[in-house]
Amino acid sequence: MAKLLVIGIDGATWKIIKPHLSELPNFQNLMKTGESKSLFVEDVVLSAAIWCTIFSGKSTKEHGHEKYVVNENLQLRDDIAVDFIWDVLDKKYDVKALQVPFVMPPYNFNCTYDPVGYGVSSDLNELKEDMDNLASRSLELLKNNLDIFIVVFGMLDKLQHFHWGEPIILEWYKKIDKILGTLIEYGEKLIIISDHGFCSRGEARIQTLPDKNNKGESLKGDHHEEAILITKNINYEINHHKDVFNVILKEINH
Amino acid sequence: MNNISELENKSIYIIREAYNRHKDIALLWSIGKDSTTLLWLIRKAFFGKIPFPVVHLDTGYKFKQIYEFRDKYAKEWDLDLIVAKNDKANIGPEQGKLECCTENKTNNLKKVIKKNKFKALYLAIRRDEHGIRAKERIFSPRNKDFSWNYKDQPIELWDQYENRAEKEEHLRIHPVLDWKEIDIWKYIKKENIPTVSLYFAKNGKRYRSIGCETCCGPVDSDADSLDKIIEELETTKISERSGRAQDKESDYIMQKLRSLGYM
Repeated sequence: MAKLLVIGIDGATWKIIKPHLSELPNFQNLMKTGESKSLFVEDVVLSAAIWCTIFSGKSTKEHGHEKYVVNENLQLRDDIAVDFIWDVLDKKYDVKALQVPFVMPPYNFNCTYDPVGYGVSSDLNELKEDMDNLASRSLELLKNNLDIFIVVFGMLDKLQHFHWGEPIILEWYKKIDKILGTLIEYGEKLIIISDHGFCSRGEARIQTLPDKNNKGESLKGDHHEEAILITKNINYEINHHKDVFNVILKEINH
Repeated sequence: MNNISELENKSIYIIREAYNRHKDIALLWSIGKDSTTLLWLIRKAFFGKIPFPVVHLDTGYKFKQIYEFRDKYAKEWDLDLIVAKNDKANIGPEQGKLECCTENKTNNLKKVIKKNKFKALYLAIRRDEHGIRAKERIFSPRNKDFSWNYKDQPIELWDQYENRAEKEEHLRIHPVLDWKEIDIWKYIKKENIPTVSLYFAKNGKRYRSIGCETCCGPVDSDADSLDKIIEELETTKISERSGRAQDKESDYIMQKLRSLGYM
């Protein structure tokens, strides 16, 4: 059981959730019993930057981290000169973080997990396997008492890049909904958050990826600046992604 | 009893315990400082003569000094040496580091295990070398694809190691898992263990980690003796593997990110 449970879902969007609430019972229940809103990305709509902002409390301009690779060098946690929330809280609390995708492979703190395909797969079977494994691993860790548990599911983002507009998207939201249902029982205070939303490529403010990848596969969706936020038993306001850091600090000391 | 003696005792216990249960066993010797230290410990455990084969996985890209060291001490220590080379692989690092390591190391090792019917292997990995290794176990079962199920690891308490080679394809034994880099060097000094000359500084550079010449680079250092290496390690914040080219996992991740369009 965690006093505070943060579940990140990379690319989760109200565009899918709200019209299909009756098919997403756990999302529906959370929105009824908790509070929900949109968060809007004002800086670059890139996952590396936004997850870094969420867990450091700093804007992209302040932390300077935008991309997974800079000048042909894979960026590592130590290349980013910030204290993340887990670094700060670790001195006094039992905090664990799993698969936070501000770097690749996604970052773990105080716990272990090997993602399928190093967390960069775009294969549907591998993404499904990774999602199930991550859910199991999260459950395993949550069965012990701890103060803060953070986990981010990155699979939906890749799926939406390739399959936006197809029925498979809703199917995967249903899978995520089911996973939410099992994990939220283990959190007293809940924050469910996405870094950005999604839309078709033509609608997006910027193109984060090319029209086709190196394999010639077409990308159908891209990042939209409207992200989701659902909270339960959280006493402080989150209006921007960078507020999450301070809210976690205040909540854990509440 | 000091720390080094305690580590030595525990390692020798593990080495003997493993051989007691698994006679179809071998040591993987990369000729580096860790596996040479492990080889030394095994010689001690068996009073100077290693009763099983010692395997060198030769990628064909090792430093010249590694080959010279190997041949000299294999003879001097009367080792039952198996030099395993994957001659049919025909692949080098220019075709991708992960692909090269997979063919010349991983698949090569699979062939050696199959051919010699090894049920267990001693390896000299240490927890402090790399984050990925931090979750290893002293007795670590592997299936035929060398996969390791982190969810299904035996509990490890001192004196209660669980051996499960009968269920899995082979068991990996890590007798120096709890040793740190500095412990290895202190032991090398204490026992006067020979080591490849690349570890000692020349012209302001030395290798902290050695492997294939194509993928290793030296770090800045003036440590040209054991005492200076130990002193350097007591103060450095640079990681041991920093001289290695972007490791094979990072190389693969970058390739994948490139193919997805992130670069």
